[in-house]
Amino acid sequence: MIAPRRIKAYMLRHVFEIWATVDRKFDIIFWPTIDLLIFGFLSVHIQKISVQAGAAGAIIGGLILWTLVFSIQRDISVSVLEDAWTRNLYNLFSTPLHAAEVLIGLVLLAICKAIITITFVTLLAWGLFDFNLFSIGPSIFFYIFNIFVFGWAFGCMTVSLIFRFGLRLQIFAWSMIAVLYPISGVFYPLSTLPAVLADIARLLPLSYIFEGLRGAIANQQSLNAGDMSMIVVLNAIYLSLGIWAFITGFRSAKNRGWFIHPS
Amino acid sequence: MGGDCESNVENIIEVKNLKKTYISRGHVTEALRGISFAVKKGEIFGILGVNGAGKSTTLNITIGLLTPSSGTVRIFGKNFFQHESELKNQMNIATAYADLAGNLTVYRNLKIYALMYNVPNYKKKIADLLESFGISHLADKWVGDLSAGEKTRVNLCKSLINDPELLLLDEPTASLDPSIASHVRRLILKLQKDRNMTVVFTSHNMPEVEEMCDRVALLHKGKVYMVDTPDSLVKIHTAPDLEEVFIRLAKGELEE
Repeated sequence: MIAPRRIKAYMLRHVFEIWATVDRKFDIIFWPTIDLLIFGFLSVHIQKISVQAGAAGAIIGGLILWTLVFSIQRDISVSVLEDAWTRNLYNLFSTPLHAAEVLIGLVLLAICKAIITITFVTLLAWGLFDFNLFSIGPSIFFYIFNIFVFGWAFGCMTVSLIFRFGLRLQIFAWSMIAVLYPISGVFYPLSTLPAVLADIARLLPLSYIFEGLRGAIANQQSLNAGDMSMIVVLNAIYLSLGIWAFITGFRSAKNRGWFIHPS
Repeated sequence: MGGDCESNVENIIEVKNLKKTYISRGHVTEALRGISFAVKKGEIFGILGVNGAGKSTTLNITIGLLTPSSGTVRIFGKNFFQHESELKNQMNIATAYADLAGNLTVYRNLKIYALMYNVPNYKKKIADLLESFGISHLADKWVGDLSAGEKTRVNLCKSLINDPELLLLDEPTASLDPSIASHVRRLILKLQKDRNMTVVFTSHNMPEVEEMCDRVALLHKGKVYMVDTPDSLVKIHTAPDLEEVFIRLAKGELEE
């Protein structure tokens, strides 16, 4: 039986960690701000030499949503790593805490942190670059929700690799998602990519989300029903894979004694 | 010889033919090679053996941190692996080999575990535990800043936060100075007596084992060599003390 109080206790453990450490606070605000400033000023420059109306907004919008994917998946894996680094997994998993409760706790934590990040970055983009992410209408909520889902799925897969192969793969918490950065169409259309990469990109819900976002910002296009369906179907597949990977990875960690000697 | 493992309602733990094999890069390590023993209610049961004998592996399987390759563990009469979460509510563990979160204060760490176990009136419980271990002054200190001995005592507080009926202690006094170790032993004995708590205990400190344990399982190379009271083990082996028995076992001078 899943117990909300244990999920709360698990989340509280990480909320206290954020409260106590500077680097976790930096993850939420500092790096997204730096990224926004760089890409924001770049987009201002692009607007001046301007190629296409809305190009600058599409870049800032793309960056904000990418920041969201990156933070969600990273926060899921870093929370697990945090307990491995401090040799606290032993004590945590000797309690009645279930794998499912950990998973729910990680997802809820990632949501809370991402909401803080997106609120801050959106307000900053509005204040500094006069860009309002929510001006594209209700479809933004569909995009954001699906960004969350993909971030959870990807984060679960990363954690699963850490559970299976240990801390030697900890760098994956920050780097694995970066493989998708150039091919997800965050700042440019998929037509820019070589055919092979574009085909791979079409297997990612992110590419449909960023194409849709760009279309909405630059050309006021509304959401295409076919693309919407693809986003939902692909995300359902990735989320199922992510949950399966997390559960099997958890079992593998328990079988190898990784919670006792995380290395 | 092995331990008595007949199913009995008075047995709090029944371990039967427990095996654990690790396979890493083609290398097979048999950590447990079919151990069986039973621990009775209210007993302090010691598990002794040299490093690598399988003591910690046994405890780690019994608290659900490690999946065995085969065998059964029954706790409070129930299959542990089918009722893990329910049974863990009545158990706890302290080990010298794990830490609490270093970036959190002692109080916050204990609060998290109190919530995990749904401890009523946890503030008072935490205050009482810290006081009984003489570390009330550490409540607002970060765990990462504590000495090894202080961390051990905080870990012991964590292990008692849910008033467990079954307490597993993996070398609980390993990093304590003799006076604090003696205080901790007295405290564990008192708690065991007051609450009829069952304690399973591993240690390399033989006088400590003789002082505390009602019965002892001697583990050697992943098997139970013998289970008996410390006095009987000494008499059977015509040894001056338990330490001598342990040394003979470690040297392989005792028959399996």
